[in-house]
Amino acid sequence: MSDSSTAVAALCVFAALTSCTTGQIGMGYPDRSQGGETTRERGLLRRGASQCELRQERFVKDLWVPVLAKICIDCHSPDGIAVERGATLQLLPSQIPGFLEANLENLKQVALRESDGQSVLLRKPLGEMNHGGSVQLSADSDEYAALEAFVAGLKANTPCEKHTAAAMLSDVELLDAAATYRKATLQIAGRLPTPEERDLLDEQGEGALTSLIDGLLEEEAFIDRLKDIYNDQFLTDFYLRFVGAAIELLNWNDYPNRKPDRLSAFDFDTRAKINQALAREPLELVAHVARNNRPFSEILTADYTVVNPYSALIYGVQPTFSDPTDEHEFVEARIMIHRGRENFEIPHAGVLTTPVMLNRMPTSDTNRNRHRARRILELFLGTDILRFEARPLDVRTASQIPNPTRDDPKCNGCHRQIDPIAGAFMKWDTHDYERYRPNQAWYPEMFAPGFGTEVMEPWEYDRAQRWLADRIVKDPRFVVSVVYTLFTGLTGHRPIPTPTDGTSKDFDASWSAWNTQNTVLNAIGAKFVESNMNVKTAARELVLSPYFRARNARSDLQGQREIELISVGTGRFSIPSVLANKIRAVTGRAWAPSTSGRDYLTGSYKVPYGGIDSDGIVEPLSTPNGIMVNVARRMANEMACAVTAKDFEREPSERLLFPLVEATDLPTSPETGEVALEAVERIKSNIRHLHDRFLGEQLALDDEEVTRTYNLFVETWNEGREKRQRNEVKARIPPACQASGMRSDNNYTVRAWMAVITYLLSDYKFLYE
Amino acid sequence: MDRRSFLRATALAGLASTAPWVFSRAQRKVSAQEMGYKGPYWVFVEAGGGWDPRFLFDPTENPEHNRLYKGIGQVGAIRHAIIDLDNERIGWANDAAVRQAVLSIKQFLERHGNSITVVNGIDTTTNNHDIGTRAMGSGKITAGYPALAALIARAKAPELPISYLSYGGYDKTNDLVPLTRVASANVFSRVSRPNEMSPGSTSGELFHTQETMDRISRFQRERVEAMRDKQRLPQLRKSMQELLAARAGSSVLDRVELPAEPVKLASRELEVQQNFMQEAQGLLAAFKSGLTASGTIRVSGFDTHGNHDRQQSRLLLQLLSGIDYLQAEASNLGLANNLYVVVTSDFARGPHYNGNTDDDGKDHWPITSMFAMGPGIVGNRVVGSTDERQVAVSVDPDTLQSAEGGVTIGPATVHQGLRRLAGLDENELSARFPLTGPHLPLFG
Repeated sequence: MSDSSTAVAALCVFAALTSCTTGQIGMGYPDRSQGGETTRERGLLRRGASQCELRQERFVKDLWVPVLAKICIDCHSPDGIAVERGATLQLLPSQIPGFLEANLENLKQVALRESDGQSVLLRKPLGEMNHGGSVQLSADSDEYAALEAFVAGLKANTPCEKHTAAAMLSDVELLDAAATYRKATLQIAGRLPTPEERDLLDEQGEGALTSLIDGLLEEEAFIDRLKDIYNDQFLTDFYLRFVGAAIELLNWNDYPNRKPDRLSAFDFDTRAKINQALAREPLELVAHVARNNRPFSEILTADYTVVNPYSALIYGVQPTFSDPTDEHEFVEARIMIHRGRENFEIPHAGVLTTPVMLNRMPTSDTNRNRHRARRILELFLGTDILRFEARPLDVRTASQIPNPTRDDPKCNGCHRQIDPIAGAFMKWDTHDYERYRPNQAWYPEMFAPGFGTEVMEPWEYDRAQRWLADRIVKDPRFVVSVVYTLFTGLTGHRPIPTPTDGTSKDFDASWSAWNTQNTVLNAIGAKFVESNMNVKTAARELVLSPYFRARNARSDLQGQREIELISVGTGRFSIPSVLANKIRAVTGRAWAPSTSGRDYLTGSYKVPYGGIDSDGIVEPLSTPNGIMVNVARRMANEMACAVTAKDFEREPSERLLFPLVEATDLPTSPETGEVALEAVERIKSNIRHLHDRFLGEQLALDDEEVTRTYNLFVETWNEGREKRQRNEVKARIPPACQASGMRSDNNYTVRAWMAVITYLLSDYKFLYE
Repeated sequence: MDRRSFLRATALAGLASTAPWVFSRAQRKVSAQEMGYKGPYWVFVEAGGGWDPRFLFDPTENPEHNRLYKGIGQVGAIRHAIIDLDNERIGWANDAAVRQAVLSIKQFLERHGNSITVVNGIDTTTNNHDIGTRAMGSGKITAGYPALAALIARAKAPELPISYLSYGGYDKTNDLVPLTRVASANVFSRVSRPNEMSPGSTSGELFHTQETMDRISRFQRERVEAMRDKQRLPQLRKSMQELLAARAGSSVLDRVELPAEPVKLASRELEVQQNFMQEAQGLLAAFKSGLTASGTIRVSGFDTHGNHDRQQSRLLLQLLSGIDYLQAEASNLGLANNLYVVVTSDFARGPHYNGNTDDDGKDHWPITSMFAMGPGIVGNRVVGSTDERQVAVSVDPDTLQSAEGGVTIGPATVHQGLRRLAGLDENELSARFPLTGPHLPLFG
């Protein structure tokens, strides 16, 4: 069910929008191309920026901000009157991803058209050629001069040079291959690199990294991570809050197995699995597409859904399963509805037609699917319609216009974009949201179903969402939205917004920061498209990017360079699920209550630790607060207690934490009080091992951090020894921290090592990615 | 990178104001004694979904706009909808457990009307939930402004470890202060005493001696400071600062004494009210501890496109009864004289029903109301009004009386009044997040 034509079309469009970086758009300003570079520009060029980028920057500063966004966009925005009347010039507002490239391309097309030997772009603003907006600029104005410069530069046709972000970030120090891979394994797969993988990286370095990451992305743990990333968008885990939350959404006339008497015939465990499968249906579809390396566009265009043996029960479908008891096995299926004499198939359109998505984007008789349209713009087109320039609603005038959403200019700007998309949901019940109503019609007084300026033909109404999906995935913003979603999921930061305040004294540096990131993300988007929209490609490229790998700058940052590098590097306080996996991977044990297997961090501590609940709390906390750091402290204490004595109890070769030292190794001789050199070396060697295992640090024995940790061990040991002598502490290890064969700690070394484990488990590098 | 450069860099990245509190807190350990914040305390309550002012303090007898009640009530100067449990359509007339816990609007005003300023006829200029929530939470219709609760926390108590506590609602901070979300009493107890094996038990057994715990903290601080000093990338450096800052005050969290058992109501019908009361308990405990300056609570469900009369009135009565509990508990804890309560909604329900049956709803409408109580707020007072079409009537900026060609009250007007109450009107935060329009003495 792949759609290669979709991918190719998207590639073409995307390439058109990113062509400036590949040398296809030649636009310049003659005054600068004659050798007038500024000091800053020369600095940028040294770092690999091209003349083309400088012109993009000047386009924003000299043309976009003072002219286009100020004067032209009112009529030439997608919802503007000029566009409505068929104007060629369409300007996307800066809130839309890719606005710059799209506007440059569009402006270029208009500028190159001539009438009476002069560019149309220079004639229309003067009121010539029957300009609908009449006179907008005078020929002697600064704004008109900026337009003239633009057209002149365009005619000069200075080619853009290809450049790389690596050159623009040449002063940024990246994690080496081994450290990058460790970060990726912990973040994506919830495990540590295997010894074999480490050996390969030691041997081949960067040469091995790409294929290792590709392998990592084949692991099911990546699919789990992807589901979590997309739940942050879809918020459908809301229906996991109790067994039945998702099941109850289904109408039992359409799905007879959902009737209470039939449902109660299933045991609780089965009902829980049914609910889980229904609640995660859209996420499992995302997983299915990714797992099978299908074009990611299929999350919207799929003419099927996915079911496991349990949701198949409730949907009344009988696909073939390898293991009819395996709740992890999801297969493709098409849902049939038998309603009275009517039999019809749900017109599946990927996640858009899943019951939980339809319910998570509710509507009403009067909302008329507009909320759904807004969410679709946000989720799959990277466009927050609410960030568009607000046009305040005036009830005094609006209430006098019979059809304000269509006819009131204060309303129809946004509604012209929203309502056609809303129309694609016309055949879904406005009260029983997931119920398909094949005979339901659209509201004639609203904008007709469609997408952008394209109107859906009435014979497409029966498959309206698939029609919409086909167009969404061909829109370059779909690619942008996928890359942005993964970027945010993997780095914890949203892409920085385009700077548009050309008057700011820091505009140049802000522009550079944005432009560099935009270049990287565009390149990732292009590779994603080239790979037939394989989402693993985008994930791999993000992991390899400096935004994931940056660890420091090579030298002190001077002047504006600090601002230029503002978004480089992650430094994210780990989200609860990632930290939970890391604890398990590093210590060999989950931080979980003894009575249940569920990690504290994905259970009762999830929200206090900054996680979301997919209900009212939908934004993870990125800045730690007092409670969050105390959750980490408690975790570190409980885990140190749980693992220290137990690890010592094992044979050294089987220990994860203390393979190089014994609890009997003391820093000084108890008899003579002299330093026990061999024991000290073993202690330090083990500390070095712990720094590697917990923090990914490869340190020399005499490194200051090994010394710092060693001092913590020794000072704690001394404290314990003195308190033991004064009978202020017992030899007995606290019961919760004992191992069956290690209940006492006469030397106080177990507790000194517990202090070290607490120290490392709550270290910055353990808690942050 | 020096401090000034770092501040500028973070500001430009939208991380703006993280830096000041990060620096001020991270560079010294704040003692528990310093954290004895004594108020004022601010609670922002959001009736999420768009409430119906006609069912509250902007009543009407027009049967096209009100099918629920007859007549107009008045307590003091405040006119109100006559909504009580005797109204059969609400469906609680014979529920003894509900009757025990829920106040009528009249009863609410009899208890609190003397403390309340009501502002009617607020034109939010939007019918969109998110925009309305943002406008009423920040005073600004467009994106980019923090919640007033965050501004207050930043201005009054930036160094407190949980200066801003959120139970939902508009809680954007713009990194002015860290946002804290709430845990259950059990989780909070375990987290606030991270070195106790079983907080609350008599054993008092510790994982590490206090001396060891202090040592671990010291070594960690020294290590992070060393890393920070070597780090040149602003984003990574900032993250280290944040950790240092959050740890600096976290040792005093055990001062928050949450009730062992959250308050419970006998009726399962009153889940909304019970949740509100439990959240109020948590917020007041945090205020009492001296570690918190402001908080937000969201009560959802007011988006009554269907079954408006029954659902809207049930929610409003629970909301008012919850606020009554909040005030009573604040009195018990000795906080009431220093407590501000601001109650808003994203916008309003429109004047007309969207159908002709009892089950029909009301749709979105931009003209709404709010009310507030607290020290300095003139009670028993109504400012602003709407006409018969539920359109905002403009007011004279000096007298606040209805005036043709006067000022239309909007979210910015309301927030300017609230900022003045909070003493923020002269604060640099108000300059950084300016609001437009005239200053009206809305709250006295």
